[in-house]
Amino acid sequence: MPRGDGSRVGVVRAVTLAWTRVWAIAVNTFREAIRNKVLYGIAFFAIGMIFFSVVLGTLSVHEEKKLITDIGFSAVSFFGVIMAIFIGVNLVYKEIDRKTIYAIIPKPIERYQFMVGKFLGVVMTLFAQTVLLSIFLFLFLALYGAPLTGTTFAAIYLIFLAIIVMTAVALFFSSFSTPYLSGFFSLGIFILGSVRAEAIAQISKVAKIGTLYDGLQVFASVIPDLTLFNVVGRVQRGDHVPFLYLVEATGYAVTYAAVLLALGSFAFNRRDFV
Amino acid sequence: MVSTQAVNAGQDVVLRAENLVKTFKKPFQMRSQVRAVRGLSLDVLRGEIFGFVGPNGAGKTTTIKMMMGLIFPTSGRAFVLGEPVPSGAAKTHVGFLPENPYFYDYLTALEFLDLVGRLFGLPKAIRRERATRLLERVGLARARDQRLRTFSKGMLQRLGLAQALVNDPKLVVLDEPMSGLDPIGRKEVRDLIIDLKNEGRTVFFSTHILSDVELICDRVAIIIQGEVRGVGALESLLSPKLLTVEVVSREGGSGTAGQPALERDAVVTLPGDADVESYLKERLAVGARIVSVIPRRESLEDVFVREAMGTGGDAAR
Ligand SMILES: Nc1ncnc2c1ncn2[C@@H]1O[C@H](COP(=O)(O)OP(=O)(O)O)[C@@H](O)[C@H]1O
Ligand SMILES: [Mg+2]
Repeated sequence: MPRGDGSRVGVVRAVTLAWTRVWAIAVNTFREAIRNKVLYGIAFFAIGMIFFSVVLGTLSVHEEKKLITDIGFSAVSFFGVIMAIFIGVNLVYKEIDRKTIYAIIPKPIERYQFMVGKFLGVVMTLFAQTVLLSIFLFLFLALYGAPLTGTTFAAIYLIFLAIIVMTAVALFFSSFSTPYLSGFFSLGIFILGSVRAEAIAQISKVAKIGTLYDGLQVFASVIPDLTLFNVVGRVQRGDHVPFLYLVEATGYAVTYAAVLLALGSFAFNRRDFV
Repeated sequence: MVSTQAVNAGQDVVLRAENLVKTFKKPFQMRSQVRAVRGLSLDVLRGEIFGFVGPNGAGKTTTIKMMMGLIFPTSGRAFVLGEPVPSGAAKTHVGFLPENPYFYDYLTALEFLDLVGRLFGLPKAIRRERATRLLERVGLARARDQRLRTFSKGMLQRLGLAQALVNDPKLVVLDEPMSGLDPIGRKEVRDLIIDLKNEGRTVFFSTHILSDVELICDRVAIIIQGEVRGVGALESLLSPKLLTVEVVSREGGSGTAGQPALERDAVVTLPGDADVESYLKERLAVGARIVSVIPRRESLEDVFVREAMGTGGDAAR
């Protein structure tokens, strides 16, 4: 922070410097990721899977467009989330394990800035992946005569928001835990988050009594509601996704990710790099 | 030897450890813990080359990590350039080489130095100029566009030195800077450290090899089992024992008439505690000439081992 007067110029300069550092880490993380051939392997595997699912879909007698849409979007979402968890849980671990972090932390960068930079770098990487997978998805959809509408793009955008949330979840766990445990927890959150609305509805029907219910309610409210980001039904029906819905979903994702990132940075701040 | 009084008398302390303690707990083992550093204090003064010497496992890296804000002391404090660790203001003026450094696999040397320059908030022109110059300085100019994944241990060490200098630091902290290098490389690093001092920087470096500090350090601290056993000029800390004295004399001096002198060299090895002077007088008295008198001392390495084995004592306290 700038010394003394706390003048506006000083604050602006401090913020600019902070952002420069965050961005440097982000770009570096992105660069590392896109040069890593392993990730390409996974991406092409995902594309293969999408193609395979679509072909399978065409074998079913009825409503092939609907099925292809469902399977296609699910594949983009699933592989995005898997990748988010995979990269997210390894991100910090790898830096410590390989000792690359030893040269970074002694530089004038705050630990939270490092964390945010890493996060943004992964988000950039996953953005590139989502774009890549979407292009293939759109190609397949076009091939089978499903129209590309605003809703199609909205659906992809929402999937990307879910990916951002899951990246934050993975990074949060990895800020204080091992990759295996973090991966396990993140996957659990993903599954719970995907069924959350239904689960809450079920619980409220079955166990309307006392503290168990309250406890579950609290637990459920901490789990991100990933169903918000799934609008494949609307795509299938050709429904419109209101702009306000996108704004709300964006707000939810960004807030959720920001809180997790703050908590993760807090844990990261007191960590020994040994 | 610089005592605490001298420090207080106004010499700048650029690096200070105050009673640093670090205890590692082993996971899943309640009782067992490693006391890696046990109340370590030292002061490094502006402009000196300070050697931090001790056998493997003595706690050098642990101490340095605490000073660099990588791990937190169990107790005690560290100050860099007068600021408590970690301080953003101090970090701006510090260069650090980690032990056995490793950097990002998929970046090139130039890209990595650029990243470091960005972290220091340097403008592009300066980043580029310094990166190029530093790669030249550490002998990596030809590998500047090579991915770091392909770097050898020695090359990583050199790049580590370069990245420690990107910010034109006032204080340079190097953890085992000569490790992984061949004899020529070690010499180059020694020369680099001397150059850094001549440029007005303070250098603090660790090593487990005594000969690394012998020639270049103004002062050293000897650390054994997490404690400083002595601080000061190396010779004052480790007084090598005189083992033997080898005397070579030319015997047979003046020949008798008509016959040339039959000269031969006599080599006599006297024990370290022998009365060398009277031996020399005796030889001179019978007409011999003294060719050489060579004291054979313990090597510093031997002394070091001797110190490390024993309790060591408070050599400079
Ligand atoms: N993360 C750790 N967990 C447990 N023990 C450790 C850890 N790091 C270092 N140690 C122990 O602390 C002692 C000092 O290690 P270190 O500082 O690396 O020594 P040096 O750098 O002088 O060789 C050693 O006994 C080492 O085994
Ligand atoms: Mg060490």
